[in-house]
Amino acid sequence: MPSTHAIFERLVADKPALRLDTADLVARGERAAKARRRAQATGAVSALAAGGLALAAIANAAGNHATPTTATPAAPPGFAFTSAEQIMTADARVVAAMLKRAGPSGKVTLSSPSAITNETKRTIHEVSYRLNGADVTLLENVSAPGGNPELMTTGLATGSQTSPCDVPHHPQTTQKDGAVVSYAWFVDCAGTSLPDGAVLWTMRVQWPDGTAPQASPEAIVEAADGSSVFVQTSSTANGAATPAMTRAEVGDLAVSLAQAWRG
Amino acid sequence: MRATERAQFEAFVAARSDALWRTAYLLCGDWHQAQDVVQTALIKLYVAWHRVEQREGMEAYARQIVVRCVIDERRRGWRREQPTEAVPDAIGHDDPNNENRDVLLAALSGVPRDQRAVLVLRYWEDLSIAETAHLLGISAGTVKSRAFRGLTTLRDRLPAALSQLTDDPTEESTDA
Repeated sequence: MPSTHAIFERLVADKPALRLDTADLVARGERAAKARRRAQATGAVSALAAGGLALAAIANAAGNHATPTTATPAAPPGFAFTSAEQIMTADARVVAAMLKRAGPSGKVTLSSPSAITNETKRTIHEVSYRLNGADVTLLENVSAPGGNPELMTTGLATGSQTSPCDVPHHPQTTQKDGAVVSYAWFVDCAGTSLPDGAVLWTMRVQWPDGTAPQASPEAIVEAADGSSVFVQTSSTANGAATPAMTRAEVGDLAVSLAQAWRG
Repeated sequence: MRATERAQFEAFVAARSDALWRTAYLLCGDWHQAQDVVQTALIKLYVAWHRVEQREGMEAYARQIVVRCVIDERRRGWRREQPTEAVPDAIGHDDPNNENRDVLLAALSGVPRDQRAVLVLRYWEDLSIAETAHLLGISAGTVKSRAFRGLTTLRDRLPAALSQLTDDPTEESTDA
């Protein structure tokens, strides 16, 4: 009985000679490094431009709750954050999907341009609307590959976790920017594999101080490459927390937003 | 990049590129595509070289880039590999060294890419469940389930003489 390793060894036993020119690799690496430095130098300008165009797309989408009419380049592959232009168009699709979900009373809340688009890590949108007498807020957070630790800044994961469902027995920490993060206690958390290899996590969250139990479920779609779409919901009616939607609904919303992001 | 760092990079390429190539081949099933992936990964590694503080972690970092390069290539639809519906019956008896290779490759090609990545990392790279989960950005439970499904698919597609794989998908690596 062979082991899988033995099977693999047989497959690579006739490996041809690898033709790698190290000097060529170094030269191409130097060119890539220079291109990266140039991109970083112009990144701030691009981000500002993307923010402005995204706002235009959002306003457009808010008016008719339809797909924005901005020019759309080639669909972005996965969640890869490769350009400000890609983020702009993908953002517009996501916001349009959120507003469609919110209905006629939906409006986008933007606290600051820097909170809208961060082309290297993640992009965040918040949509608020009224439903059945309740004020409902959807917060959506798309993280690029490797951006999953960004969940740490919202207190929803720690660096040692292998899934958002792991209960993070973790003390408060102070981020580099001085923000103090209290880690959530997850309760009633579940993961489901999706056909494309991603995993959908849905959960109800309770914070350790017990002062603000989250009545509404949350959902995270984790793609195989480590990128994620994270949806938080909250809802209050007459000053009391009330579920904004069911667990299945928020899961469906997260999946639809992930699809909107991909285009 | 400074001269000392360049020398370190060149030494790394000389020492590890073959191993990365084999891993890339097992992930994508095509030596030419695997070579392209390794070149792309090494260029990315060059750009990031100064940011990787611990040199002992360089190989793990390079392996991660290779895995993601293969995934990215597949997203672009640039796939030379052609999975077959069924394992061919005929085996080339005139060349014992090659007799099972095509069959094995066809069987591996039939394993979905996410499960295949787990099999390669677990049983070729000998990564632990936790290391595999971290590299692929998935949970440990997902690693186990993908390993189980991947081994099942592989067994189903292998000829009877080879199909009794000894691996237990839930068993942790000894080096974990």
